[in-house]
Amino acid sequence: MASIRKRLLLWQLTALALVGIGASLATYWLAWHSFQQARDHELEQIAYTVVRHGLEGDDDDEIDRGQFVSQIWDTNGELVYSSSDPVMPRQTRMGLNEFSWQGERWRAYTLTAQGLIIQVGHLARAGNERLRIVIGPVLLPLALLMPLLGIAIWLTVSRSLAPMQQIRQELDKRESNTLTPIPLAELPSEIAPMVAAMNDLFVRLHEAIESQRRFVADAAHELRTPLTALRLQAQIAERTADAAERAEALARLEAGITRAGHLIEQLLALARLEPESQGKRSQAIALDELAGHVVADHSSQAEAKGIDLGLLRAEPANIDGNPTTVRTLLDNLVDNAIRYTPAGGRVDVSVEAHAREVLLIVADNGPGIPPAERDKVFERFYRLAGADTPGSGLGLSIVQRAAEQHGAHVSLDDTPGGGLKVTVAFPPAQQAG
Amino acid sequence: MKLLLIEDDPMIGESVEVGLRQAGFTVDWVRDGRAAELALETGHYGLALLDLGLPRKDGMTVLKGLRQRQDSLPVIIITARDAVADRVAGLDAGADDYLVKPFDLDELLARVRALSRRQAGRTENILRVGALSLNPATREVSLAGQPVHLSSRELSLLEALMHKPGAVLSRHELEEQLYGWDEEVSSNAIEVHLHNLRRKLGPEIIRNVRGVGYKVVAPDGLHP
Repeated sequence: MASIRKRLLLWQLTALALVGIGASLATYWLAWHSFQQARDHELEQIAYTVVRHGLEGDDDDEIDRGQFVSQIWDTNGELVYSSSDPVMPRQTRMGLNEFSWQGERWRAYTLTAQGLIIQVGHLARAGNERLRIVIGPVLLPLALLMPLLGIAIWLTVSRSLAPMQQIRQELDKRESNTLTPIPLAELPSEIAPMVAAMNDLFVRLHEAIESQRRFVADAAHELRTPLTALRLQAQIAERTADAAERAEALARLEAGITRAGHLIEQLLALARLEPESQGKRSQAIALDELAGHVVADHSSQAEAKGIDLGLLRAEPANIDGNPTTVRTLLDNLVDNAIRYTPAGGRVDVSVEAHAREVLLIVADNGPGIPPAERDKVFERFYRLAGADTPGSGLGLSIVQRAAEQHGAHVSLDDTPGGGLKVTVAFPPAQQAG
Repeated sequence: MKLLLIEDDPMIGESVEVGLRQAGFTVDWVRDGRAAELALETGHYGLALLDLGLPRKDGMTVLKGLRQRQDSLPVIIITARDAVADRVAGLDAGADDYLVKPFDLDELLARVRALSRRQAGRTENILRVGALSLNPATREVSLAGQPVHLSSRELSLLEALMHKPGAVLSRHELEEQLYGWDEEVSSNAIEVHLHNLRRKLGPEIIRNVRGVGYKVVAPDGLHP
């Protein structure tokens, strides 16, 4: 799992360990090196001391009492003096040398002066042993510092990530429908923008859920009305003895079923227009042809009601969009017009191609919509007062929604005869064809 | 009894009207809040059925206005609003009963009968005057245990008279109780029905209080 805390701790502690080990090694190496240098220098000093003062006096004892081994040869190679037996082999190269002798590593300084070859040496490991004594105190603070720093890093990381833990716990506690924002105060500036973005999402989600909930509640409420009518009509049909009255009751029952079916169809149409159920696919639609199809499809419905339905003008015009949605829009406009226009009325459908827009116009000579109510009719389930025709109250909501999805604008006007003229202004298709 | 039906949905309104008529009630049907207020102020109703979601004026407003005028008319709310808060608000605003759509026609009729019974201060559903009894639920009338067959109008007329025994009802009041707005009433319709009732139940049962109206009295000699 990609845990920030784990990653931070892993990297920081690894880096800390590496730095600690590196620093220790470097310290050790430097200490050892300078120690060695000091010792070598000592060897050299002793060798020169021998040259200057000879081997007499306290100095000799002092030299030999230590771990130093000294020899003096003459230029012929004859041994003049040796502090040890056996004699440490003479090094041919002048200066500092390291070599093996009697199973040990030795370091020796050899010089020629006043016809003598003087060599002073000591065990190489003698320096290491002395270094070992010193190195402990040198490395101890570093060794103590490492775990302390480690603990400090651990605590800092945990502390810094605590707000995230807190947010997680708060989210864990929530019910699925709790979408109240998380308080931003006291949050570090790195986390606050992320939480703010989450809060924004919560708000949008809340609105979407609310709107869905309202829609379901409204739909359930609206379904009750035709259901009530159906139930009552069925009961009346059941208890009516007279054949003619019974036939009438059954006819009403059937009308009720048609109405309930219509409402359900409309609810489904509206649900299909919900943004999330919309595919992004958009294609060129010949609006004039589509209008012709829709008029043809509604012709029998219009004839049954004695309404003169026709395509008044069909200028070739393409729009971009979802054919199903545009079809739903047209169906609803034409259906509405036929539904609310009294028998003997007239419904005209037109498609006009303009330079900047494509207009779809459905005009009737029905009762129209009073200007005061023109905004409200787009609300779901809004019905005009006194309308004898039981509609779903959804037609214009569907039209509005479908238009919005196509960047189109819906406007309501009067026709000269006092009827309703609905104009949907679509943006024209980007490419012809 | 004459009821005022306040319902904007044509299908429901039509069905309830037919159902109530079949059960022997006289029904006036209005479809919006303003028409309801007008009807309530001018008509004499035994009970009102009130839908809440009305055009022009909301049902709750109509109800509150009615109670503000100190009108004690029994009101049954019939609505699709089923939330407890809605029921409480409806009853607190002065409704006597609350029925949620979709409701059963029989239940609606039973509630209407129950309310009118309570309104008349009776405990029993059957109307009785002496040996004469009328069951509004079954639309059956019996005199001294013998069933009597009456036409729908005759029965409604008798029911109106028996609703408050001893009370005198004028011919106008009886007409109001028996006929809706849309029904033609011939000038002597009530007299014709009264004549038929006397013929079927005996001449003494309906008394004419001269210049005032009519009342039902216990038939003489038929007391148990």
